[in-house]
Amino acid sequence: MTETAPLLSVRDLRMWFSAEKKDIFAPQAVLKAVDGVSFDIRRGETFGLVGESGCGKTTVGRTVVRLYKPREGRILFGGVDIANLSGKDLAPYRRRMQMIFQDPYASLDPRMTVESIIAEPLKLQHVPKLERIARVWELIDRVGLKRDHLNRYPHEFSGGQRQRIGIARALATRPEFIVCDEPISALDVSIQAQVINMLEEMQEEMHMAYLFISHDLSMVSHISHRVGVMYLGHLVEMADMAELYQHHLHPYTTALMSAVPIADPVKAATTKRIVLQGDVPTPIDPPSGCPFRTRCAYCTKRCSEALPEMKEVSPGHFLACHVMQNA
Amino acid sequence: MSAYDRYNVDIPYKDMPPSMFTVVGVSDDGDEIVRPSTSYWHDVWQRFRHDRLAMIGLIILGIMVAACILIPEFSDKTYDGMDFFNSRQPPSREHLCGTDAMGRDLFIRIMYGARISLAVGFVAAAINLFVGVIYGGISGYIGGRTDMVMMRIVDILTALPSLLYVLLIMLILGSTVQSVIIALCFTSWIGTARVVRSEILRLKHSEYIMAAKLAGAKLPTLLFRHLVPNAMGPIIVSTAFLVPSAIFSEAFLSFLGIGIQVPMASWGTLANEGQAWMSEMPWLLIFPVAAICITMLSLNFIGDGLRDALDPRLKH
Repeated sequence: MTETAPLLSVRDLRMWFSAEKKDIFAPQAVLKAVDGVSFDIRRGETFGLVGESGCGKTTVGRTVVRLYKPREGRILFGGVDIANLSGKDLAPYRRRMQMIFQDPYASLDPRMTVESIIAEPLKLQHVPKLERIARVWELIDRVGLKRDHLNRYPHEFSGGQRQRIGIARALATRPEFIVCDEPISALDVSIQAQVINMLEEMQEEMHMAYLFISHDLSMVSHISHRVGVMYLGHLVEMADMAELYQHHLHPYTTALMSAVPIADPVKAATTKRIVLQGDVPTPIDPPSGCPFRTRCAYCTKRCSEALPEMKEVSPGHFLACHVMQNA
Repeated sequence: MSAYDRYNVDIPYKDMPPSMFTVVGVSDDGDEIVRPSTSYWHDVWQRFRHDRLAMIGLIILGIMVAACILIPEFSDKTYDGMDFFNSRQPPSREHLCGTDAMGRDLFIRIMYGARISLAVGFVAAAINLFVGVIYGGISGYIGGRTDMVMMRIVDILTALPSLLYVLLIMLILGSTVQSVIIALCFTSWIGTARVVRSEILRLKHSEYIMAAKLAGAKLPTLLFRHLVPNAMGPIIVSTAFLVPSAIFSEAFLSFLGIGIQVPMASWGTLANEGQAWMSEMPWLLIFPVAAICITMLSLNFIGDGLRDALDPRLKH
């Protein structure tokens, strides 16, 4: 790749929410949804973010596109820190980053026609009307819907078709970066492949970068170039897909990998599935030291004392684990 | 020997070479939409149309509005035209609702009264809607401390006894239609504001709101293009019930003698006058009260019908 500077560079991102108080005299509890996450995404690259429900991966996605204002950290987009921009200063970046949402039923305004849904980002960017219509037609063709669908309402479409509408809307302003927040988890399997293939084709055509959020490791491994594994608001391991697949080191990644169904019965019979004990601790009251230590089979005394730092164990492979870093 | 033989399982296709398989792919036109496109408001009208009571209410209200606009224009009688030779007449062909002690025709006075009462009702409801949507929308959308302060102000306003400030406003501004409307609107927008706020709180975390924000939408766009249209059902219902309540409050104020003053007459003023002559000339009380009741019922039926038509959960 000729370009060395990443398109998006997130440094030590923290996003805390105030948790609901039991009574008005109780001290304000904070939910540390994202607690110090750093990663880079280059142009044309897909960065997969995996982790179980509630680990903060959706919050990372929403904070990166500045739906939320981060508590701390930097979000460098094209070299500019957008973490603390607001209003007018943020407006030019809205066009350059978009998001594809998880639930195709909730992400389209039920009172708007497909045409006005797709045209909305263009309208808000003051694109002239004729140009807008031309662009909407181009997009609707591109995502494989028909032009006579344009004056219909979202409830008249199937889940897969709605997700295509959502994709068309995200593409409208020709963004450089798209957050795909579990874009396929609400679709049935036959439609999933269509949508994934479409996303891949479009990436190739428009050289966009994706932040692909999913809990489905096999889907992430299919689409991503690099993958980050999240647990309880922290990134625990990050590497190129092939590297992570073969040389994953973190005990949590190992457990996730072992849960991926294997299509080959020979291999499946010889692979042992690691079943994690216990539940994910609450992010309101996370464990001291390493967040994973309460469920980790290799836990040592040091794990409860200090939070392991991300260290590069081999080129491009980052790991946050006291035990495996030294092994 | 294939690798599967070790496991002693019967896989029917284990000896078939991959060349025997072809990719069939997926067809894109699997689900064609054949139902004609119906908008939300089209559905609402369909449901409303089949509600008999609501339709009767709408027709009666329509007749009432048409009558109060047209009849006074084409009648030779006026609301203050006195005819002492024909005073205290019971209802007859000449005077449909009879005449009062000063010989004024009651029917035409009721028609003029309808103008005032309906105008008060609809104008008050419109102002309520406007103020309520903006106040509730801002409070609900911004949330946090702003919401807290705005809702406490509303709580304080509700805590004051309404008759007290209505009397004060009427005293200061005088007994005109405008001051009645101002007095009625002073706090009645609070109900609408609360409805709007709760709807906005429910909707503001929707993914389509996030999508609009990402598209670059600012507060006015978010509020009036996305949030309010989606909250329109409950808002319309609460407004529909505001019309009769405003008409009734105006009648109540006039009945107490602090509303519209004679010779101009609203329904409440007429009922107040008629009440003094209840035993000698009962028609003076019966007809204005009947007009109030019929309008009130029609408006309430319309409100009920709208509530049922706008709530998709009641869709069968």
